[in-house]
Amino acid sequence: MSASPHDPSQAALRVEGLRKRYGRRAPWALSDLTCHVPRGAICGLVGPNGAGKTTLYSVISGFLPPESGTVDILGLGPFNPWTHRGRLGVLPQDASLDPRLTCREFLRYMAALQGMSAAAAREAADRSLDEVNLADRASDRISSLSHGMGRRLAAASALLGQPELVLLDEPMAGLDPVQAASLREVLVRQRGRSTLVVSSHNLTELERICDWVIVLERGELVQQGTVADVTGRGVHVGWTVGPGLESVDEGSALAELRVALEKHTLRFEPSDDGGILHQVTPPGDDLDVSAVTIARILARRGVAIRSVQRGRSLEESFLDRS
Amino acid sequence: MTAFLMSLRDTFQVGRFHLIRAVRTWTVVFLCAVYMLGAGGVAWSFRGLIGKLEQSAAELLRVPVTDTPGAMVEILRGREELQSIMSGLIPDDTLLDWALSLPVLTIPHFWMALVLLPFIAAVIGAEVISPGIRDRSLRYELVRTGRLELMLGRWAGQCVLIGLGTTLSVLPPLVIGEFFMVGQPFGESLSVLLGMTPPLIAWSLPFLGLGVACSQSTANTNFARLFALFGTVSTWIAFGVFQTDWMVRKAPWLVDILEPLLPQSYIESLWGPGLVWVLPSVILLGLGIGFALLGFPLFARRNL
Repeated sequence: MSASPHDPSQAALRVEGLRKRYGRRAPWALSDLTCHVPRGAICGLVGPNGAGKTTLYSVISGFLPPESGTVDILGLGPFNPWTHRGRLGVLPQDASLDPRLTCREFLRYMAALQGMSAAAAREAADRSLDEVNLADRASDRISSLSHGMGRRLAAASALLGQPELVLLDEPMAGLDPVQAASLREVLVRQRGRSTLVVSSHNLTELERICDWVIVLERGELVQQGTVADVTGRGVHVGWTVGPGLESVDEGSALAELRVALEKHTLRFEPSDDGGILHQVTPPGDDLDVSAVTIARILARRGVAIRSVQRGRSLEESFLDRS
Repeated sequence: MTAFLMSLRDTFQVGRFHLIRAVRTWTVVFLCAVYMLGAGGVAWSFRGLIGKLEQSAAELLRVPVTDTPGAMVEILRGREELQSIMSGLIPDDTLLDWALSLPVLTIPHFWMALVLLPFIAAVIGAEVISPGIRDRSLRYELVRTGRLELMLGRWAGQCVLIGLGTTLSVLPPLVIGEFFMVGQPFGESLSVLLGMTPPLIAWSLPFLGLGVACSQSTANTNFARLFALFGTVSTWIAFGVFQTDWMVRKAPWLVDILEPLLPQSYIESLWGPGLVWVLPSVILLGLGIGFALLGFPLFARRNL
């Protein structure tokens, strides 16, 4: 990332006080939502069904007018087809592709609407098809594609012409593991080339590719930040250990750890055959150095280390909040 | 590139693609087939009518009857039977005289087109936007161009399709006149039929616009078609009401304001020799765009 990820003024996408609801008496689908996505990031948009993810995409893309609030896309203001075309790519969640067109025809039309000449449109369409591994289906009608191929074609349209910001709403929905992996590779290849905002219910998948996360619930922002921030990866380590750490008496292993790492918060969660030692590092402390200290003390005391996990998974963090 | 030129370019791109899609999906073939079947059916029926009129004329004149209609058209032109049929189609006397001088099969063709084209145009106009609202396929285009350009582009593409269908519909009467009748001058018929085509296309544009307006107002294409047909019939009813003495007497100001907004007000000025159709056609084009824009405020604010 070129700028500080926490600096909204440098963001690729900035949303402030956004409110949207479907009908006067309906609950707010987006309620005073303020968030941002740093330039160059791959951002995961996370939330349960009805959290407002698709509504947020639709408002950003100009499909839905907001009740109030502002959207700033790439520092150029709210969505405007004339200023943002070619710079903003969108993969809508449930928009149909015309089944009677060929893949190439569809992409060439999209490229032409982005202002490309006929030759440039042809080249961009072929390059995009190649990128999503559909080059061999270029002349086939969309009706002959599987669901997964259709999603890849839609992704190709979103990536057409290398836009600066790409919004992908559930790009991997309904894909089998192989197709999902293939599409994930396509998205990862965009790192450094475009800013991506990806929503998905597959948090493990998101955690693999994202470096920024926005968590929504009932149209409100729950948390945003780097994946390390959201999962506590930079501050939290969970040590799953065997027997020997249960005693909290003076002179016990736990007491020695607390003395050695007095600035850290240590909490032990016992189980039948040992337990989990939660270590939370204070700001500015090096997690790796303290980890070595803990490992040494545990080894000397003969406490078996079964596994070590930095932070919690995105899924665990999300489930904790739900 | 200025905003206006960009807008124009996008409208052209959308229209062009609308045509390509129509060709790829056989829509254009279906549309042309409908036009040609309609034109062929009317021409064939009129051929039969001419045949019967010639038969009765031959009996009265005690001359031999021919198997192929058309031999006595010149005699029929002067007879009351044909004139009464034609005056039923064309109420204006001056226009009737002009029409009677044209090749005989061209009149029912023009008349059929005047009656049927509004309904065909309204129905196909209703299919321009609403299916894309329903399946949200418009979203792919709307991150790249404006809603106005999308709507006008599709309207323009549909205009070209109607133009193509209307132009091709001159073939059946030509073929019937050439091969199934006698005494039908091919060159003159072709030139008259082709000359009628531009005003006929212009005539259908307001109704196409009406259909496009309805198409923007609902995601249900069947409702859009229904609204478009209702709107088309309403223009005829309104025109009929504005023609009544009662209306002219009671609310002349209303007639003055609304009558020029009805396509039917220009129907008679489309007829006639030379280029008399040009000015009313330009007005009809304006009405077509205006009618299409009636649905735009709703489409522009619509949640897609």
